[in-house]
Amino acid sequence: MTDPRPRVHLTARALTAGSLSAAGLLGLAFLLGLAGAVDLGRLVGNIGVMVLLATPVAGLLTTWWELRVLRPTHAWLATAVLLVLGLATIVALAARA
Amino acid sequence: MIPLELLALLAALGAGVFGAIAGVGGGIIVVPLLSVALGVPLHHAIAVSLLGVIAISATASANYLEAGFVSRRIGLTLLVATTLGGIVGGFIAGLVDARLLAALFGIVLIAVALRMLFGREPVEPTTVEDLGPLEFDATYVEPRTGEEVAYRVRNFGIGSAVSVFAGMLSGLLGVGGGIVNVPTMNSLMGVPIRVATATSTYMLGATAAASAVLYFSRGEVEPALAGAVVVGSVVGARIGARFHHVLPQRALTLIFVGVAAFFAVQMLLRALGGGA
Repeated sequence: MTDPRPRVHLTARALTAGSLSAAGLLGLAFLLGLAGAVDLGRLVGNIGVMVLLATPVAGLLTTWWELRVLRPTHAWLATAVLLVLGLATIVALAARA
Repeated sequence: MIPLELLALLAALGAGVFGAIAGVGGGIIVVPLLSVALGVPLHHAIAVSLLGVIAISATASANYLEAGFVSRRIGLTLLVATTLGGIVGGFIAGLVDARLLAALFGIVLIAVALRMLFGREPVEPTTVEDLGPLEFDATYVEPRTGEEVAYRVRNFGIGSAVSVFAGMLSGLLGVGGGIVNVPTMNSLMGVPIRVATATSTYMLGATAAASAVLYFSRGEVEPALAGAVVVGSVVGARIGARFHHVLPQRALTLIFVGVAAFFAVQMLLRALGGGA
């Protein structure tokens, strides 16, 4: 038999909130650019991109939170993925600097 | 609206629909359309495409998580393997003939697509009561029938090894891992196609984000284009996720096979020196 299912709502909400916020900010940035507020549009657009980049990280953090009791091994896998991805990003950024 | 952004939005909309259904993101549609058809510099096209993949992954996988289609246990384990493979791929990129690799990958992908199309059913029928204590065996509720479907995961070690290879391909050829992860989970590991595509969608966001950071740090993200692609991707992924719920498993397989065939042609064209 399978174990009880861990909750998923927090991760689903984090992913939805992240993608919708980023889309909203990037859409607003586009409209600001059309209205002639280019610098403000670029700033809002960059914030939107950063929100989008942070969304999978938030998804992995909430996954860890939701799995930590019922599936502790897999909860730590979420942390491992975050660490490996973070390390790979730092190494790649340093190599290009 | 400026035509380029409108076209990018429409391309991202289509990529979102098919990417969410097939579990492959959407880069294979957005990158060639922006770079080859619309003349956007390749690095800028890849940068906004990666943002689109994150948007598709976040939007669709939120829906799939709520529906119970995502196996986070399988996804996280394979994600570690894929990420490690990606790092290895980055290191050996200069030692491998990318065109030869693209040709081989294109041929292998055609073989895999044919097997998915004509091979025997990869998912072993079982019941909830028969599921063993293995960590990866699980169930989901099939939305078309309302029945709880149990599945047994097999070949997990081989599947993980293939995921390392998928990550290496991602590093070497700049392709998303979904095109490898879906057939690995479905054909090799016996995961139902609905769960395989949903789990792959869940996995894609994290790896795309790691790559997108690099493009963003180099100033290669064009905000207006990114806005069009992300908005299109979010809307497309919401539509795609709805289709994912109502389409029969066979239709999901056929759509994935179609996307894989399109991708294989791109790889073969790249090997011949003509692809994006």
